[in-house]
Amino acid sequence: MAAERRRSTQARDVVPSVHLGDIRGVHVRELATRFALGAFVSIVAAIISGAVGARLGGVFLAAPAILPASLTIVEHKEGTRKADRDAIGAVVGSLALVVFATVGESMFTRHNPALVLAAALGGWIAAGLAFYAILGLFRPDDCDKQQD
Amino acid sequence: MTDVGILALRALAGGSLVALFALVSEVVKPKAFSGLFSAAPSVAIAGLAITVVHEGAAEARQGSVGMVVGAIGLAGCCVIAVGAIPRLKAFWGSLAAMAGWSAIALGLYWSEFIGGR
Repeated sequence: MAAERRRSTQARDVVPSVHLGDIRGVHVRELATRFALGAFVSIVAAIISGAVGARLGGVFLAAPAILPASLTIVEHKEGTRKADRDAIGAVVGSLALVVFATVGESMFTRHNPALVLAAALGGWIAAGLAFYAILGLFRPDDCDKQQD
Repeated sequence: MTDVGILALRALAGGSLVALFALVSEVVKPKAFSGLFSAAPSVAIAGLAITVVHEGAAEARQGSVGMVVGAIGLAGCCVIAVGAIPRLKAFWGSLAAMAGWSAIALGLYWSEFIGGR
């Protein structure tokens, strides 16, 4: 109760920050697992695209094949609570991914493809930051570093 | 380049970008912000870039159309994961979420592009 009261009056620390030293805690096996899953999803999307069409193949470009590995790694290293908060961030990222795809849909065939991919990535970054800011505004406890 | 060569290139590019975004997620805080990078367009960038070069912009556009549906499914999948993980733990919770993605994304695809046409 006292901790809750303290938290309600304390400012939450929701501003993103970078901690390059944390790279030391990353195991090669974790990266290798994610690399392998990313490679697998890429191959599956390409095979489906070739067999059935680019549109259905495109659905699999947003498949959550990496999600179980990522969340399991986070849970193993940092606990279930952090894995859940990681999933909350993934909701934000996936909404931004809709923006990425929409930019691609509207701009491919009309503009230079390299420009389109850059614009789509920029759209993902901008939307991700905006949606995260909204999340921080309405659910600050979920974004508070002190409660991580 | 042969078809196998193109597939290998897609695998290498997609896997590398996934690993890169995973590294970014490891060095940013808070956890909710780092989770953003779990849904980064890593496979998409690699796949669409190679599609543009190998098959043309029209095919890349079609891929983007499908990806809108897949991304909506991914958002639903992650919402399921948020609720399922505290109850089922990360592995089973995310598998349940993946089942949710299949239902949402493929159901949306069916209703939008196949059903009733």
